[in-house]
Amino acid sequence: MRSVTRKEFLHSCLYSMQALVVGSVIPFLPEDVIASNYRQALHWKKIDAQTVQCNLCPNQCMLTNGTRGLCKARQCMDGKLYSLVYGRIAAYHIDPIEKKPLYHFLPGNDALSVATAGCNFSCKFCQNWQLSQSQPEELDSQYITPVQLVKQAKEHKTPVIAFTYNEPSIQYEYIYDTVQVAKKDNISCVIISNGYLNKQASEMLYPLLNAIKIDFKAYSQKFYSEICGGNLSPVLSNIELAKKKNVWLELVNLVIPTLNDNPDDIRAMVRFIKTHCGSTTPLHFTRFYPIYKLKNIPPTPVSTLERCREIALAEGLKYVYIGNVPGHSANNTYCHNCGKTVIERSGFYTTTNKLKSGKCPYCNTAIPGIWTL
Amino acid sequence: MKYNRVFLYISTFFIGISASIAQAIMIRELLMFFRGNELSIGIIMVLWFAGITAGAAISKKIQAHQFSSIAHNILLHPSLVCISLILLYCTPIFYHTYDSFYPLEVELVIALVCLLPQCFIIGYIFPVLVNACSRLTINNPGTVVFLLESLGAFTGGIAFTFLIIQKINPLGTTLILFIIACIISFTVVQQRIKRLAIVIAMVIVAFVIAHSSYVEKKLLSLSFAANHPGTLLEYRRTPYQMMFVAGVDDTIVLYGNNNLYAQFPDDYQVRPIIHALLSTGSVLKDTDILISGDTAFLHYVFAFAGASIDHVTVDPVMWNIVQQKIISIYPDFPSQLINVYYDDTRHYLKSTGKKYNAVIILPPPPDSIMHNRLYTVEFFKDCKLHLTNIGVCIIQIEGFANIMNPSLRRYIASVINSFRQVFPSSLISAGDTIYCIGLNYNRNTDTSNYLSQYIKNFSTSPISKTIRSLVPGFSPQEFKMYFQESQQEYLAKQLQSEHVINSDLLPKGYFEYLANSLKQSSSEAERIITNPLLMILLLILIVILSLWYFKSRGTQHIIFGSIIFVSGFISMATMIIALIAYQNVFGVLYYKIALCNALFMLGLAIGSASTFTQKDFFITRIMVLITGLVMLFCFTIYNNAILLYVSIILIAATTGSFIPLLLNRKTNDIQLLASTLDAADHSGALSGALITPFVLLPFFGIYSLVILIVLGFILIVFKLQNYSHI
Repeated sequence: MRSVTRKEFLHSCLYSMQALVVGSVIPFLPEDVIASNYRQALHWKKIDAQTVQCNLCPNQCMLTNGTRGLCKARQCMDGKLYSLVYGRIAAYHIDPIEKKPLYHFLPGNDALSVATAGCNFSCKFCQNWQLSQSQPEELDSQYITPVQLVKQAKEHKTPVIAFTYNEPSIQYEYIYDTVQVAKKDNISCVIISNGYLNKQASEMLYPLLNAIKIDFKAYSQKFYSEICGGNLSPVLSNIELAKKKNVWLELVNLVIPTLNDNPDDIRAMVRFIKTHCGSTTPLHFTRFYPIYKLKNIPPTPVSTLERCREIALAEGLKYVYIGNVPGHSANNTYCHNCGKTVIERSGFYTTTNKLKSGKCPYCNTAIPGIWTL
Repeated sequence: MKYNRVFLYISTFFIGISASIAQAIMIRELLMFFRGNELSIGIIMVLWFAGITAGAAISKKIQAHQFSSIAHNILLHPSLVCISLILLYCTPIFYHTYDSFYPLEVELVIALVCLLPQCFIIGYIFPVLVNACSRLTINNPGTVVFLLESLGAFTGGIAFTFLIIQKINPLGTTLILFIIACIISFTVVQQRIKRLAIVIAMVIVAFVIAHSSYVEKKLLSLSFAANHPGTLLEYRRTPYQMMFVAGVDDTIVLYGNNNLYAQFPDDYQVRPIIHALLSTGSVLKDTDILISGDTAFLHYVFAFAGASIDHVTVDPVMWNIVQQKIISIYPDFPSQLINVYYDDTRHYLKSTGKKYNAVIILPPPPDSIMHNRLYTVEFFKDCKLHLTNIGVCIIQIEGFANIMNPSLRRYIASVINSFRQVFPSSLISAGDTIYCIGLNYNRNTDTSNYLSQYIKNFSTSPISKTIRSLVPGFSPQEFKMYFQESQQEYLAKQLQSEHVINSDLLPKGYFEYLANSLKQSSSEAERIITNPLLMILLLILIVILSLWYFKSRGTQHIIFGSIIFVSGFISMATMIIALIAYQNVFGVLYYKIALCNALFMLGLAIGSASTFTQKDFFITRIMVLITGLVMLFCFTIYNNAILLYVSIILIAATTGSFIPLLLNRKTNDIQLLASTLDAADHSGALSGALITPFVLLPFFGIYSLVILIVLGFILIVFKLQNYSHI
């Protein structure tokens, strides 16, 4: 048997190590395809020739050439900030608007729902983690211009375009452009957001939108920092801002056993909503299902959701729903004046809509919401 | 001299017992904190062998004071196992994470801390024992030590499986081992102070043993509370798993090996299954239904609607606990209307001739071979065989939210393709959970037509009134949400390019599910483990390092070391195949893992005993090996456990003969050679544990791998014959 010399052995080791390192790094290398699709971003400032600061969201990432923000969707190149996800649509579906959930916005209609890769949060319970926690180049995507997107919405006869699944604000420039095109064609644009945006950016975007659903994940800074990788106060500011800008707003709280189901926190959240958004702002308590990194936590007991709803109703909110529990009576809309059922839902679908010109057919009370195009 | 021999024999036998019991305990307890599947077993085995390799490699330096060294080591081993267990139980308390599982690299570190010290002792002591035997002029010292250690391991495995597992908790078991080690050591320790220390230690440990259940309960309660919601109501080590029962608000939650199994009440979770069955036109009354899965409301509704229900569950202890909890939630739960069979679902289907109108299978996701076998084409065929002419089979699989990555796509495709292959007339939903309805008859399964027929027929169905009274807010419209058009189009498009099938012999669904779940833990180690090229490079690196190590010890070591490395690799690959084959047939391995280990050890003992004579019997060994592999092959067809047990013994008997054969050859330094061979055996096994589950099995499947193993053995024998002069 031929013996291996020390030199040969060291060479082999070096080559193997090199191969291991290169193999591990390959997935992180930006591909040519990224460069061909980038678009110069909005909301950033130059720090020096090599460094920029992204001002889109409160993460305020400082980026040097070649590095990406926490959202994975914005990169510094040649001393400028670029969006890597402009028009780079990775998920494309036609969903009932109730699935967002938006219950007081054009019920019974479909929304052309689109998403890209990336997110400025890292929620451990993210249902769409495959989108939100991926680099743009890791996902199959198609390039759709704003004009094409609006055209496709018309072709599918969907009166709404929903930027959803991952955090839409990371495709800020694309939404901004699409909204302008969609307005001309009478297509509504909505975002399903975590509300984690800097004030300047949200003041520029929110007034252009027709509706916003914000995930009010918890009334607890600890929850935001430990479970979501963010902060509570910017979310509170944006909830307030959305209401001030007169955009239709609905709020969702995904109730996760022991993590954010404390009755005192729920009460504090509800009081904040009532004070800053008004008592008719719809609030959805949705059921958590074990997913992504929290597969050890069981589904939220329905009784917990009912208790949260009771707290909210007792505090004076008028439209409080229970979501992700198909068949539950709290999926329906009840008139806040007479208490009668005005919209019945089954799963994601509106089965009966008794509203007449946005009013209760029994007592003629106006039900807040956007009911017709 | 005679006394020393007895001490040596007893110590060798004891270290075998201690090692095999420790291995079974550590695997079971680590599975509770890790993912609870083959990946965790892989991590444990790799580190186990790495520890032994390190111990064996370092052991060459110890030449003097062998008897005191042996005494210290046999005392140290159970002590380290006990410390590892306590560290393991405390890990979630000190390293709190919200995540279901630790990232792979953290699991590696935990396993490293828990396993490396105790395995180091096992590796370290082997060459010392061989050398001590040699100094006492015992003939064939390698054979003697190998034989006694293997017999000890066999005894330990059998004792653990049939005696200890039911009676004593792991902490208590390791402490008893410590007391035995104290008694053995006491006989060789000469100094009075040391003897006194041993006696005091024995008294203290005996006291702790008496209270070990309390200590364990406290530790487990604290560690459970660290990363689970609710309150731990009780925990139980059943023969099949570690069960935790927790109370979360007004619900009861069940965990098996730390995986969330069920939550009661489950009124809303099982509604889609009720829809799925009713949509086929079933009227439930006088319908024979087989249910496999931890549900309560499904049984409740179907039984009250007049169906006859057979429920299959493998774990009687778990079902008894579940039943008590269910009755506390549904006081009128119709237990008397449900026939419970304590059996594995696949085994039950093989053994019964009964035909059903509906077979409903709701297993946990295919995160282990045990669960994957309820998602394979072979299993779906078994289900179909037990359906009446108008029967239906309903399964649910974990699906996708809006998009699929390649692993998720291949996992979903492999299960759906397998299901469709068996049930060409089927309806598949799309979304977070995918419901598959397979019909044993031809029917138009165009989705919109099927759903509109269901909605239309339900209101006139004789069962509608009963269902509406049992299930609040029930409406057939609700079922539409699982068949959203764009989600279905997306699924169909994704499936077009994937023709992969999930089968027992090539469990693609399992491997892809595992890859996808690794992605979720955001683990950097995942990139290496799921990349076959990197795994092969890692193997090459280990081979180069091993060769360099053998070479540094001389020509004889490089030849013998290489042979034993290949033998260790092949043994591990065979063992993994045997365990997977066992799980495919019988499901739960947890109960029998120590038995399989024990049989393997018995094989090693027989193999080493066969080397007492000076003849090599190469041809006979090859024939024994081939017989073993043929029996393993037959086991996958005839599913008789005896075939598998005998095949494990025969294969181990062949591999177990190589180390003693080589140790009995002439050598200048027997401890050095024993150190080389033990290190080579375990570094080979380590490589086998690394490469077999992640590269060889996914690509070659079980049968092709068996052929590779035969070729590997023939290579070893040729090598041995070529170098018979050394």
